[in-house]
Amino acid sequence: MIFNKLARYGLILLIIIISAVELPFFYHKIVHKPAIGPRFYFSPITKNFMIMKHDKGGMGFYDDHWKSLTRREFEKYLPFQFYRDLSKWGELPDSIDGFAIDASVIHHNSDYYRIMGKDFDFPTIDLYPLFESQSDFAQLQFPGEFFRIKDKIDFITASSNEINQEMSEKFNAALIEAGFTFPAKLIAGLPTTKKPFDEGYFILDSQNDVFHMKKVKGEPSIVKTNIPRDLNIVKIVIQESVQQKIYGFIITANHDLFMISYDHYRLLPVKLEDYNAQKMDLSIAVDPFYVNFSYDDNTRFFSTICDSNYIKINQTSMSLQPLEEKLSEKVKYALFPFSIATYNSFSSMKKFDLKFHSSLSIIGIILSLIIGFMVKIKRREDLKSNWFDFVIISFTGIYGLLGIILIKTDLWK
Amino acid sequence: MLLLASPESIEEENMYRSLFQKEWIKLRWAFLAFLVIGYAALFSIASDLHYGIKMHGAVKYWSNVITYHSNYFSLLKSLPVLGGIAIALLQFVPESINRRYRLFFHLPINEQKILLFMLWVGTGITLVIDGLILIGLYAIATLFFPAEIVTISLLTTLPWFLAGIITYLGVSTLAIEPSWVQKIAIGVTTYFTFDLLLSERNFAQYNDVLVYYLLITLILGIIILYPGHRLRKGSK
Repeated sequence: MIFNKLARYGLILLIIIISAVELPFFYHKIVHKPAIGPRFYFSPITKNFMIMKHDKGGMGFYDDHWKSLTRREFEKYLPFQFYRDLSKWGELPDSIDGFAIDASVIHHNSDYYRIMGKDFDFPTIDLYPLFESQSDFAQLQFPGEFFRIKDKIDFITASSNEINQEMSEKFNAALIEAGFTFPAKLIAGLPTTKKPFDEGYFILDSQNDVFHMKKVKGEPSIVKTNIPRDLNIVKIVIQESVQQKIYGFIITANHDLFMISYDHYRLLPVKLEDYNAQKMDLSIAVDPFYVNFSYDDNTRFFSTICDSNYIKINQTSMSLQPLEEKLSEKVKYALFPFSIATYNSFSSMKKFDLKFHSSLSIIGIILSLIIGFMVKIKRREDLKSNWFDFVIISFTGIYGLLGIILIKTDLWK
Repeated sequence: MLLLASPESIEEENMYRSLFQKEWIKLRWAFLAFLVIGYAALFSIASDLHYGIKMHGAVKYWSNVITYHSNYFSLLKSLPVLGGIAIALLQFVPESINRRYRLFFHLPINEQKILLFMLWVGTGITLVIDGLILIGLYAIATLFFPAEIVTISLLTTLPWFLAGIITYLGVSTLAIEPSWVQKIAIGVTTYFTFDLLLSERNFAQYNDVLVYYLLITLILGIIILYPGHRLRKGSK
């Protein structure tokens, strides 16, 4: 008898788990209105922030004093971002602060990088193509091999799926000669041919030294950088840029951001207030005058502006109404005592995160208990022998009620 | 000291052997059919890989798999779920027609034990099919790719096979459940459970949560006792 009863409770538990995943999700899809955050720009004309933001009537354009502008007025203040429109209107200035500009100059002095929170737990396949950095051809070409670094470096020829011994030994010897200690903790590069040139890979060895590895005319080029060992690096993002000022970015376990400069790998720290690398998305927009570091966690939006020498000159932030304060969310908390999220916007991995809602849940639990009681009376069920059903509802609210209504009790003896 | 088995335990053992034969007779064609379908899918995957690598080059193909997680074995994705449904229906629908299941009440072993034994046989057969398909995928992947890609490919299929077991257990339960309302409730719950395991966008996305789904599968492994009990009581 006990196993039969347990089987019923097992089925109810399953309904509770699946309801806790699906019902809040459906509620969110039906009721929730997505709040789109602001975008901050920095005007080389006004030397201040310009804000683009979704309003009830559509997209709104503002200056730093929240004076509403037309889209055309707004774009005129931002020639580096909207130079194509300004060129079309014949309103692109010839120079700003004595710096002669045209569409080509702006294009070649602009860049864009993104470091997403979900990049930190992306399931990677640790095989990397090592491009020829000084190719005779203008277009980069994929090499025939992919490398892996474990207790040594191996180059695997894709066409035969076999290790290229000669190349492996050559790079292995070069790495050891440069002082590399196997295995690698982190390998960072940009494995695409859609980039202007190749800067190879930055590799963190087991002693926390950072090495720069390239293939130059088929030969290994390994440089042990002077990047400090004690940084506690969690991520390196490399992106080749025509400006050749920085190789990319380093993020530490303390959420500090550094840029790796072309000047002997000197690190340029960027102070980003309240930045949490794993729980925020960061975009870095470079224009001829400024670098705009914009980051957000979907509720709080920040922008830090540096000049072209990466010296911080301004910052701003704005918060949207927290989700918990919205009426729709309060109703959700009253209806559902907890929820199970199977995804997270700042993670690439599937989740199974149990989140308990606020004390408002007591409303839903009391209502569920009353409904459960009435249903049992109507069904003429023996309340004494089914007391545990009420315990289930007390802890799980509407989910438990659903399970108990759907999966009827039975004559157990 | 010589231990002699009691006549009751010998009888019970014979009974289970007969039951296994009965289940095997019901499921052997489904077993063979799904193995053939599985290996046909594997053959198709292998020929696509061979052709793709010949057409675009191994480097391009590897690069797409490594960088974009291009899923070269997605043909296998829905097979375990379809197999789970088919095996559960073939095994349990004959028992529920005209309440034939009630014949178990006259056997010397408790019918709940019989029910669980049938479920284990079905789960075992499903696992054997899954295992053989996994071995086939491993053999193909090893031919074309290095260990890193082989490992992540196999890890990516695990939630699909778990979804197959979940479907088998859920459909078995709903097949013998006498009430239509509860059949629908069990069906909907089963659907949403296996569906949660089939929504990956990248390789090995479920690595951190597979243990939770394994626990759910264990719960599903005993819930069949509930409709079994209801059948004995004649509940509607």
